[in-house]
Amino acid sequence: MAQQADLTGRGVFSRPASGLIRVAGSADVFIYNVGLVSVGIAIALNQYYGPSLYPGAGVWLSTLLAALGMLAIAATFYFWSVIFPRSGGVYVSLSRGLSPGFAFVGSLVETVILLYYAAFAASLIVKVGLSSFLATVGVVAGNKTLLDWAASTAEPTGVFWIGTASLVLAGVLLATGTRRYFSVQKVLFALAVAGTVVLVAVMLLGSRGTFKANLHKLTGLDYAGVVATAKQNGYVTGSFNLATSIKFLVFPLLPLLGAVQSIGIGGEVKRVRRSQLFGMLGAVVATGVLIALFDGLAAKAFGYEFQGAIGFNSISGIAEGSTEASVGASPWFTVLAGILTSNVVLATVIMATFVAWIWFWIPAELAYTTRTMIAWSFDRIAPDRLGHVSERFHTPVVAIGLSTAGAVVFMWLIAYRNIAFLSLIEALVVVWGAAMVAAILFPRTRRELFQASPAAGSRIGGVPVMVVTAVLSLAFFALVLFLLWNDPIAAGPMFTLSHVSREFWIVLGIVVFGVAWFLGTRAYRRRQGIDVDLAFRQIPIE
Amino acid sequence: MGEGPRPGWAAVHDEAVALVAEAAARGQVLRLVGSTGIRLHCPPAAAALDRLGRPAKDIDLVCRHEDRKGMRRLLEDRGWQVDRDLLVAMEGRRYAFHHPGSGLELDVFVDRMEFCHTIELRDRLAARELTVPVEDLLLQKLQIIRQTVTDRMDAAALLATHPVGEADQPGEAIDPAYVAGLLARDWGFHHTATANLAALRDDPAGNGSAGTVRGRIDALLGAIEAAPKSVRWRARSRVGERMQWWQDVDEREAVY
Repeated sequence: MAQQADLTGRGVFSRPASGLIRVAGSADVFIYNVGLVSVGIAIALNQYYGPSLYPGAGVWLSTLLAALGMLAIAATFYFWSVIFPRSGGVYVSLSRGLSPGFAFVGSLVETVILLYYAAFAASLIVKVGLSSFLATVGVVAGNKTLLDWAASTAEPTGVFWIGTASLVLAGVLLATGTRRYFSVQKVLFALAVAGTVVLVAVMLLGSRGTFKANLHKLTGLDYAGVVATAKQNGYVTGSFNLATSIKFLVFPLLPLLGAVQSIGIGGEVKRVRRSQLFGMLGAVVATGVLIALFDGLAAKAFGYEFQGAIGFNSISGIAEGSTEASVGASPWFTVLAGILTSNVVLATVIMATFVAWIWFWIPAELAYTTRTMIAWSFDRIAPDRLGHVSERFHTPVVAIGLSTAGAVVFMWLIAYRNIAFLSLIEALVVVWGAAMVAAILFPRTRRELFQASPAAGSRIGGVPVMVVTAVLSLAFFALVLFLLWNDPIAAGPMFTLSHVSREFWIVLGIVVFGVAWFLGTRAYRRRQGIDVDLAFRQIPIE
Repeated sequence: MGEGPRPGWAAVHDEAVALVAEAAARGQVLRLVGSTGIRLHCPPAAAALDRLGRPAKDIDLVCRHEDRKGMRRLLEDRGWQVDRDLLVAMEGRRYAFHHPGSGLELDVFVDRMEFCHTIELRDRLAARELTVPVEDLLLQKLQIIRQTVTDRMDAAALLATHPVGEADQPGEAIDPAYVAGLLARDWGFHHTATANLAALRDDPAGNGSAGTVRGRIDALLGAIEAAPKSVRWRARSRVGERMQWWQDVDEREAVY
């Protein structure tokens, strides 16, 4: 090899002759993944549904168990991201590692589901963020106008238009460039972290006695009365139960799944090995610990039984035992924390923090789906137009527009049809589970590709670490699917012998459409003299 | 990287010159950089590189950001195909093209070259007819954190064929004040460039004009040393190598 002067002292190897300064560094990837976890959504869902519908569940333990499973998944996705350092998410690994047809159909299902969750996050911005914000600040400040706004924003029209505005804003942000998107995210991340520190301080310093007093003063609710009302209506308090804690892990898992989605922007990540390792595993650990910590803080300030009782009353529509009647908002964590502070400034900081955390989910989900669409286009199984990069904005505006429009459709369904496609997550688990199967097979089926990749160097007893983590991930996904399928609160079965869910028909429709599209496109391209299968068989240029 | 036979220098030369001329005819400013820019900048450098067995390389160009649309049209009119994957990843800061007919590869940088260190070129693009000024051609080679032998050949060829200081004709000498002024604002770039110059002085890449090259490097290093440094430069110098002083440059990996 040619002699080289190496100022870094990192040894002699070929310098990237036409190297690239990519957009996303380690911090960007970490923030992208942490944003996709959305600490705000995780805390809100955990504390609202955990003690109320899963009494006895140690929410902190469920969160840590979910994070443990996610570590194996993150490790496997990390290996995929270094084998194929390009954008496109699981489509890239599935198409090269398993089957192009399955990859397209699976990633189409994944795309639709993620667009639903982008809209879901936008709806939470309104419900958990804005409406709760107006309600809490309104009640703390004694301002009736804010309380009226809180009620009106939670109406379907408010949810749809404000949610749609959030989605469009996210789409516009992405259309102005990934570099700007990451810059904005960094600023928001700093604000969200600062707000979270304030929130932790509020929770640590706020006593149960203060909360009880503020609850009565601001909402007229009696702490013990809320619990008594819930019990009269069937709420059963449970002592800590490991089985229930395991059962509940699917709730914190939903947001934690976001911690690995930087695989979708692999082509824009610099120093991919370091960035993706730190970005994925770091996001799982940091958010898992933080979300679990908030369960402890909430139990200290509000009490586990009270959270369960008021959540139960809210979900059961028992107005006299919840905050809806007095405040106009459900007793999300944000509302309870605002009541604890009884301070307009602190309540504003808390709400803004949650809005920021929830917001992260939206552009990141859209970015992920956009990159998948572009990958389809580059592989010629979607129209070239889908991968069109605007000469004005230099971004894939068509894909961004399509993703945003798709999410707006879901926004309308969520707002006006009140749909909750909970069991769609089961289809996502299957698609990602397939990526784990591909990871197990890949070192054998695409031996040359694997050996040429950095993943080949990581082995335990001669077995590639990627295979080990994929096996563990697959087992974890099997557990998750079992829990989801058998838990009607979290999701329930997609189908039984006597009942077929809406979600099943949706997924089946996407699958049928996807199969027809893939076969039709392949035939169409063949008539054009293009063999699309070549893209999937190509081995890396050495 | 697996490659077919490299297109000869004549093909690279003809296409590079034609592109710059065609851009000018369309009212755009397009200038050559990289090893092709060095060869075209002055025939003595090309001859020196030929003697050193430096192969003809692909074409690297710089354009202004307002010319991007026209530049892309110009290249596509001439049969070049844009790398769509890079189009998404670089978002208008850089383009890559491939010519299926000739097998040539072409990179276009916009306003600046961003590698281990950034070289701003926007205000200097029109200074010369065909390439960027000689100082920028040299700086492009000096900003590399892990120089290869060919990078050092290029730098040595430029130094062997261009005096440091005043010249009879504008642009035919390396302006030490410009190089020193630029490096006096950026400690990281200064650290990399001076280390590369020192390494080249100790082993001037087998160039026959070793004595000349050493003398010019000393003159350049002297000017760089003497230039007053900015506050930012001095502050960064206190941190030194404890913090990374260059930007990470990723490989352009194959697209699967």
